[in-house]
Amino acid sequence: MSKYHRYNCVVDASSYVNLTLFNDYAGKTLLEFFTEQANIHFCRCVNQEINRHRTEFMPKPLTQEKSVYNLQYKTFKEYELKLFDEYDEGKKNRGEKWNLAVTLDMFLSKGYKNLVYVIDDFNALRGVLKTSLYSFPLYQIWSSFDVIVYLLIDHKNFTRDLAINALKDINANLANDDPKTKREKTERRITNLNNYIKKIERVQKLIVK
Amino acid sequence: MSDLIKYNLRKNPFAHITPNFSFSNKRNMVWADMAKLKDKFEKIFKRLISRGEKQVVLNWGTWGGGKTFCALYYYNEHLENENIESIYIRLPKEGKTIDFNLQKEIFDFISFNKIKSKIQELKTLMAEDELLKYLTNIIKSEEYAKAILLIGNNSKATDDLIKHYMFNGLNKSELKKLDLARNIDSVNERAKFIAGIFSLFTYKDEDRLVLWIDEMEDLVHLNSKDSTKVSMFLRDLIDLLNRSVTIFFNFSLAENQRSTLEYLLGEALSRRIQNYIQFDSFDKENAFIYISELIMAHQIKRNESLFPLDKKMVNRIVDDIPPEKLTPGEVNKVFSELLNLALDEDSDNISIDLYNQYLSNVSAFS
Repeated sequence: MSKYHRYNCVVDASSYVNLTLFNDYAGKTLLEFFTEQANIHFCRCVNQEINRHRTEFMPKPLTQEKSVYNLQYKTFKEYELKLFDEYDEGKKNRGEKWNLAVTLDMFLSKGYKNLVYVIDDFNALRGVLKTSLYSFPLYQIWSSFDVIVYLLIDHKNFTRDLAINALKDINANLANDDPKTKREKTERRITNLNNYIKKIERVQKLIVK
Repeated sequence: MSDLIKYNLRKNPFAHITPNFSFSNKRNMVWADMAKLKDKFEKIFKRLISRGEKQVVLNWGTWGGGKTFCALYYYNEHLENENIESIYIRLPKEGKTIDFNLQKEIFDFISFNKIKSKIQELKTLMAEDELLKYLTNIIKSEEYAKAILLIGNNSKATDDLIKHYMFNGLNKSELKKLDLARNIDSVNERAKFIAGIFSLFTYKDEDRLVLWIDEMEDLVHLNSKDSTKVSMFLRDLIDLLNRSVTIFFNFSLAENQRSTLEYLLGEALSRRIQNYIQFDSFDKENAFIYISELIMAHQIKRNESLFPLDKKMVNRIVDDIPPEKLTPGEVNKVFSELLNLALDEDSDNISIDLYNQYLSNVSAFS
């Protein structure tokens, strides 16, 4: 697929880690399948965060470095001030904030329209991002689970069985999302799995592989 | 006699908030209401006991719906029956070594000494060669049949080695001492070894074995590789055991998530389940009957009253519990706390004032 027709996906460290947990999906990681279909981007501080959480199956640092996006329309400081009304000298949620800047910059400087913001940090979605991220109807917001459903739809070699295994793997690795009790954590994971299995079944009805 | 004597109660009828095998004994257990559910279990046990039919049953339903209580109840029911060996385990939580932990949990529950006694008992009924043939025929491995029979030896040194063999594995020279060729390594080998142990308890025509595996919903915390190990182990175990065994899986799950079951258990294991039993939430009428029957079953002087509650008070509390949370577990939690509060306050009964005090103290029904 021509890179100009692909989705441009701005990926958070949490999702990047989840997409590189294992390499036994027909011998590949989910990220490898994903990069065959989409352009992967992130800000420099997400790159650093990924390096702090390196897994066995991540691309080599130099390859990974190629996904770092340099802003053109405004600086990170300007974006952060306008999007979040403050510039946090500390580093709290900087990756999530700056990745939003990257996503918007792709539209504002290059006119990209096929944009996706990928994140598995649900606390950030409900917290620091809850207003700004949803203010711009310019991009889709996906989790790694959505990436799996997307791959099932768009990648000819990504089968239903691979999708189910990938759902289980990421679901089991999902950050705790502050559940109060073990039961709550279990319920949440079952609900999440159930929701995405239903999506996969729905996709399967239309696209039989 | 406890403080509860003032309420005409032998003990707290709602005390089984989280059933625990360590304190259970037969006279404690009261199966209140849920008659249809009990009928289903009675039929399953009838099939097992009278015909020795192999059955795999999945109990599923809402949290607090009574699945663990059910396991505990029937475990107690069969405690004094010498022909029924009941084993209860929870699905281990550690993913990477899940198959080993399953094996370990089962061994721990049965105990080394009980397995030893069973082998020694069987050796009085038949020659060791015959026992070896019996086991080999079932598990299709002379190696593991030989290893199992070593548990029945009379040497402390062999005991130590065979325990290591079961739990940690042995090195080559240790294996040689026992005249064994290999350790128990793969999922399939573990299933063979456990099937061999189970078969010791089902040798005689009248012998039966019941395995309960609780908290199967924890499969959701395992990645696909580890959950496949669990499915493979259980599938192999089911296939190797040919008679006199019933296996129950307890799985907590909301009703609209039923379709998730097959994905979590795996297709092969799901196909082997013959019977799905759903544990529903109560409706209000059932909840009332459940509470009434529990109180009456624990009265010192039997009568029809619901003292220290009354009919109006019970209905009021039941009305307050949201329908989706109206389960035996939630009812036990609320009424047990109320009873304890009444004792703390030295109250003559459980009045509306006391109930309001309870509501103000807790985040009720959360």
